[in-house]
Amino acid sequence: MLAKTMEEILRAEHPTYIGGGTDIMPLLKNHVRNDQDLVFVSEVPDLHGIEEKEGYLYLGAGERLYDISVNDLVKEKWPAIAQAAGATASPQIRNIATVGGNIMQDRRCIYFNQSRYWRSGLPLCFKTGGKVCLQIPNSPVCRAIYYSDVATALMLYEAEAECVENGQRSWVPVAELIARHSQANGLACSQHLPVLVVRFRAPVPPEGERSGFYKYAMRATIDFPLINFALRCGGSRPARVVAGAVAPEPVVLEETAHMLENSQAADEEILACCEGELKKLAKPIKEACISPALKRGLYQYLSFLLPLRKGNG
Amino acid sequence: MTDKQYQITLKLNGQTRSFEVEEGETLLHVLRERAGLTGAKKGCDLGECGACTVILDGRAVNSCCVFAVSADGKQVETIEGIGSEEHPHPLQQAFMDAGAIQCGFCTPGMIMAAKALLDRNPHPTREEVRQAMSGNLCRCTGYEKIEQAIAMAAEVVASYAEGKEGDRA
Repeated sequence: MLAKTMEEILRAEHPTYIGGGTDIMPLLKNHVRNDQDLVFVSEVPDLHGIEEKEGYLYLGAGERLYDISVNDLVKEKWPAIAQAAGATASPQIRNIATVGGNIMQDRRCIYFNQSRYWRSGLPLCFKTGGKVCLQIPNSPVCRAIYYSDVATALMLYEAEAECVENGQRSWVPVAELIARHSQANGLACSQHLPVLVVRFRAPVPPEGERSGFYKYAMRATIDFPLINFALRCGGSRPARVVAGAVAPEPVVLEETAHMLENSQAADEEILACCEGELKKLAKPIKEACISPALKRGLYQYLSFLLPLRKGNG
Repeated sequence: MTDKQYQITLKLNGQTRSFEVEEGETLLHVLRERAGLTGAKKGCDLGECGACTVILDGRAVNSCCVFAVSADGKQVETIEGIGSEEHPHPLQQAFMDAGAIQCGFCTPGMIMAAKALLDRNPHPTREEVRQAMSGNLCRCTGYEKIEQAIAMAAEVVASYAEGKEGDRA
């Protein structure tokens, strides 16, 4: 259904909400998902708008990644969000993909992001309706990784999402939404969350705070991140560091952020702390172009954001 | 997915066209199989190679990853709509002049991505060209000549815009 109003959206009984559709389309083609009630929501006015109001940035879930990446307000005050939106996928994808769809994207794994023919030689995994994780066979849950770039940036600014679920509208922390979505998303699509994201909000950063986003991928466009980081420091609120593409949801690096607060700490000490913390929090799996061992070598790439400590970068 | 059918209307290369489509059908499928416009190519079919690029409401998109239903009411430009054999678009001419084509499979997508760029930015820098073309893969020509062709076409397009060459047919 091509919805034009919120009422139309909420009328669907077993909805799968589609923004741009670029993430779900390959999964449908490969029969990884078999959604029954597609609801196209990107034309609904309630899901649009980028504005600063009453101390928050409000970002409609239906806004395209390209529009977010070039928006002057976002670039000036929430640069990590603009940078992450601009670093996602290719120009063609950014022109149609929405921020809501990006946050609610499927996790990815080399065992199910394949054709049905390729998968036919293997047992069904949790994601395709089976009872095993082919990455970690003794894992009780799917271990696929969540690769959103924008999620890492939204979590940096402690953003919230306005969601509609079972007819109830409420604001929830983006971190909480992603944790719930990620858990359900590791199951067959009939088990996915029937949550509609309407918009996001992030508080206005304090004076003097500096922040940014960094992504490392095999090819700068096209590929999903092998790792991404977002970092803030320098303002009146605590420093914060978030890493993505390392686990089923982005991880907050609290020890590393605490060390960032210490202006006497050398960059090398911060990187060692980051590496140690990620070794505890990351859940690496076999990926298309990198082994878990090589991936651990990327934990030091937070270094690309450390110039922000001195107001550079 | 269900087999629900929808009626959509596109402004396709300037003409209003209506199609009966299935819920999960791609815009690429509509263009190639229902409209008979086979310029946009089915390459990876996953949104990675750019061979299926068309312009949707002024923006380059991967038509293999656009639900046809969601294109209802929108303007679609394909390679067939921008020039003809007698009067090629400056980008088409420049690709031929620069030798930016070998097998030609990626070329329609390349040209449509480049056209979307020049439509909004007639004087792109080399970096802007590379950024705009970063969603298009070529496996035989390489990218140098494609960049050259776009730079050549940009000069022609800019001269049209400034009225030096008169209106193009």
